[in-house]
Amino acid sequence: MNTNSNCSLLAEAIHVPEHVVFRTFVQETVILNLQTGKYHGLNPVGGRMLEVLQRTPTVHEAAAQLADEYQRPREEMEHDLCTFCDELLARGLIELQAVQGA
Amino acid sequence: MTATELALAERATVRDALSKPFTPGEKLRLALEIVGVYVKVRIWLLRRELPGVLEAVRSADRPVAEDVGLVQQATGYRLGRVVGRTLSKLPADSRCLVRSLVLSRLLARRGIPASLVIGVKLDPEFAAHAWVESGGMALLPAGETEYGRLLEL
Repeated sequence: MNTNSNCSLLAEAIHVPEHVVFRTFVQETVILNLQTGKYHGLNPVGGRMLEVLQRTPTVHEAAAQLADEYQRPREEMEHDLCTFCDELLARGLIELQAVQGA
Repeated sequence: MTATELALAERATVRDALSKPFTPGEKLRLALEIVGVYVKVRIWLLRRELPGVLEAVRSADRPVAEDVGLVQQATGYRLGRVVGRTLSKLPADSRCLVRSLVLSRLLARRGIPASLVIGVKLDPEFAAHAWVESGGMALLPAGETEYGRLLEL
């Protein structure tokens, strides 16, 4: 399994732009992109991923938290989260934000 | 005026705002206004994203009040009904978003504060709905029991 290209996002910070709004329901998280007028749906795991990505400084830290929550190996969660971020980026639902210098 | 007289006067004004019949001239002017705004809204929707359309819709010369009073709410509610009836009679796009934007323009012109609300429902299948609220009151059918609020602009 080649994860190299996906894992380039691990050090990045994720930002949900102002033109994207979302709300979590029991079955699904609904996202509206005001720029495109399109709605997107995330299953509960995807919704939780988005929520954690928004609150943690980097994708790497989000993966650590989610791996702990879902009792999954960290490498596997990092790969899944990077793939998830790629998909959201492709749809304009998240942006990469410059990480504050240490 | 005493407090009671003021309260009674306001009730009378609210009643008038809700139910005083429009004269034929007022009806015609309002219908023309609605159609004119509808055309503008359709053009804006082709050229801009929703936040930009909303900005255009709300850019009226009349300042908008910070708080909404009962008379304004009653006026807004009545305008909502007229907008819905007028657009449904025309070969027009009477989708909820268009109706909401048209009403928002009319309200802005009258200095009545309002927000555009977008809601979604997931059962039995996904659907989205837009309506206008002022002072917490829906001025267009909200379907609040069916739709969860997603966004308020």
